[in-house]
Amino acid sequence: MAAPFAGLRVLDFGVGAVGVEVGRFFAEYGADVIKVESSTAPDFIRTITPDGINPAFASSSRSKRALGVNLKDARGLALVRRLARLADVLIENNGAGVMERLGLGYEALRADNPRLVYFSSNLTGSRGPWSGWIGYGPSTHPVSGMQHLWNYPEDEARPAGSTNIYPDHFVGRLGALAALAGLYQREQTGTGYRAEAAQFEGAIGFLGDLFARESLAPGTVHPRGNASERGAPWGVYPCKGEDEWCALSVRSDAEWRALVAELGSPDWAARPELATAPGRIAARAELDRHLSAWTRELAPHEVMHRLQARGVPAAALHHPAHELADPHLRARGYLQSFDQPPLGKLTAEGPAFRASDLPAPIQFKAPLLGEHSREVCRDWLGLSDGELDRLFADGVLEEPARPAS
Amino acid sequence: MSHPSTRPLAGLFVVDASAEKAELCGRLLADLGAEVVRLEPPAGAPSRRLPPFAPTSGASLSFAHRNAGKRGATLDLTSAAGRALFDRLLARADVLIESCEAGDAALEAFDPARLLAAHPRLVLTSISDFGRFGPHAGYVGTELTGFAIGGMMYRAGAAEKPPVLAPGQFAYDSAGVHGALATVLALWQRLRTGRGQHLDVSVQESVSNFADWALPSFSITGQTGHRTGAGIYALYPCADGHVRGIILVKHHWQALLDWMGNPAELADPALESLIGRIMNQKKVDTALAAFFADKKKIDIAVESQRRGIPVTPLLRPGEVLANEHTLARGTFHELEVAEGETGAFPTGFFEIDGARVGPRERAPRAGEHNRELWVERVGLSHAELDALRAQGVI
Repeated sequence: MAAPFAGLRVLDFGVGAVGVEVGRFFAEYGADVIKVESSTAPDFIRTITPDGINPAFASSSRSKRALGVNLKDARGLALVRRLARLADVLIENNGAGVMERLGLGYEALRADNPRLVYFSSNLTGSRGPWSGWIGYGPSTHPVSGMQHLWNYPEDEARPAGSTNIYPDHFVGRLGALAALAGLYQREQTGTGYRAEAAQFEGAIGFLGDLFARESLAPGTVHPRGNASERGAPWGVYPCKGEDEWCALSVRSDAEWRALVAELGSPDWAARPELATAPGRIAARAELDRHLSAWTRELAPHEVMHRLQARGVPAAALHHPAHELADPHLRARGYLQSFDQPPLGKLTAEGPAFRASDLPAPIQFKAPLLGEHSREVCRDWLGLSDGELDRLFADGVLEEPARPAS
Repeated sequence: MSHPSTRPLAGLFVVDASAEKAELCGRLLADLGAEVVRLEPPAGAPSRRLPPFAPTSGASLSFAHRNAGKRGATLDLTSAAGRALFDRLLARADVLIESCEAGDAALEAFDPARLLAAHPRLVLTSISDFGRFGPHAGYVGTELTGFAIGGMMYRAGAAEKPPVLAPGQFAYDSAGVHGALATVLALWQRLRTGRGQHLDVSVQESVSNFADWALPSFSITGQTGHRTGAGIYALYPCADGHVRGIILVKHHWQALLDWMGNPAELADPALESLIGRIMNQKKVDTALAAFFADKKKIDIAVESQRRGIPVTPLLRPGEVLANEHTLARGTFHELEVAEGETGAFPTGFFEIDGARVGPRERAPRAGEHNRELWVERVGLSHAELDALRAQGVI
């Protein structure tokens, strides 16, 4: 089966995660995705380790080729502009205005290539008094309201925090969606477009109903922790082992009865007011105490399997060791492995969907900085070895140092 | 020139028969221009009973947000007459979205083999908690269980407390985004093959996709990381709340020192590196808290950003709704949630050629566009529509 993006050319100026993840989507389904960097402006995720290859970088830039080019040199810039003439998609998530100042903004490039689909993303968007703000994924949590709400209800005055870099990967999917929709439209119109997604508005878009509630009843939206107004018990409970937890939700009286049966119908659960949701919500703290005593003796997956066998929503709280060992994820072919020198066999997340008529995602190692400079310039532009040698000698193009033999 | 009235997916017809979960999938397709009909049982979708609620009407704001811009129609998929009509509708559809869970009565109507045999060009997007095959395929779930098993939760919250859930419907919205992306990929593939296909989207895998690089890192290092609150993404108290400062690189640190007047207690070369600052985090945090103590969070962020330091203010929901930036950008707009009740909703995720691309209309009432759909598009007569209504099929 032919890969859906076979023959498409993508220039990936992504750094960090957002743009980089857009590029990965196109690479996995067959586009020739060129990661554009230079030794003075590498993707900063590379620089976590001195050799430029680490698991985070390998995961996000897998299945791509890499071009090392000095954009501060007029010949380097001209070369990239020639590549952009041939590209179907260009992705960037630099600070607002950076690409324009380089001469690689959408308006400049589309004059030569009206078919180009161009995706941009930055923290606060390219318009408005706070446009141009710099930051990282976690910088969006405070400014989008998410940080305030992602907390335990009793700690509202003291933010809890997390080390998740959300929404970087999420906005990466939005970017893939916007770019792909642009290609789809181009099949009919013949022209591309520029799409933009501001990262803080991505986070806001997940919380739209809470903002609507706040606008209608100011001061009523607070952190909810793990509880829900939909029912009780509903939360995260300690399990056997170090920092092991399970989550469970009782959505209905029938699910409550099923849970009680699995617990062996203890006396505390027999009180008539617990038979309905309002009674259980009123007794939430007491239910949580009893359930914790039960879950503490069990492994998280045992709680999950036993309650699921009775139709009660329950899940183990996964960390990566659980994911790697999950027989369900394995059976679904979710985990993607490839060899990444010098790290060894790396296992990473695959697509979140299986498809009945798509080829498996293409997986190969992430490149060193400039690893494919020579072949990209040959393949895309037909440069001769003589021209290439000169550009390397002048520092316009870059490639990895040859290992000493 | 841009054509703000033409959106990229204009001309595509999507039937969104979601149950309760992942309605953002259809919303994103509608935002991008597809005509999306929200198909509900005659009594209304179960998602109309999801919190939060509007204070006066009691209408579900979750439904209002995730179905804005769709049209509304009803059909009883458990009746024979309903199923026959469903086939007539699908003959005209490019995409069908469903999000049943195991045991739902309507699940039978979405059998992929039967639907694709009858409608070979259809893209059928199934969204479920664990996916439709594999040893846990029959397991049920909620927002909370999906977030927990997706692998994002173990690093969220304070070390001495249980992991804490993200606000909103993070897990199901994540699945909605992946569902929309997979759907457009399948439509793209259909341009070449002429065939539709079945997409099996998993909530667990959707959340896992947003869990940063924890899995690949673990596969190499065997390290999982721990729950450490904000960790290196420090939150500093100030006069009216908190700010987040992510001081990763040397020039951020130097710009901060310049702003602070290069205080003697921070004039330590060890603090110039990220590792050095992490080793001496208490010293750094104490000095910054003292410097920020008399300053307001937005003022701190604006001045920091002017100096090239990545600091952002920790805003409460009301402060997000009405600050100079969201007001200038038009981040929110008013949409009706029930007659006489109007709330502020986000205007959308995208701008295309400078124009906002998001919901243009409020979410539909159940069956609001029944006549338009069943008569004008499917071709029922008015008499047939009335008869099906009387039978409770529509």
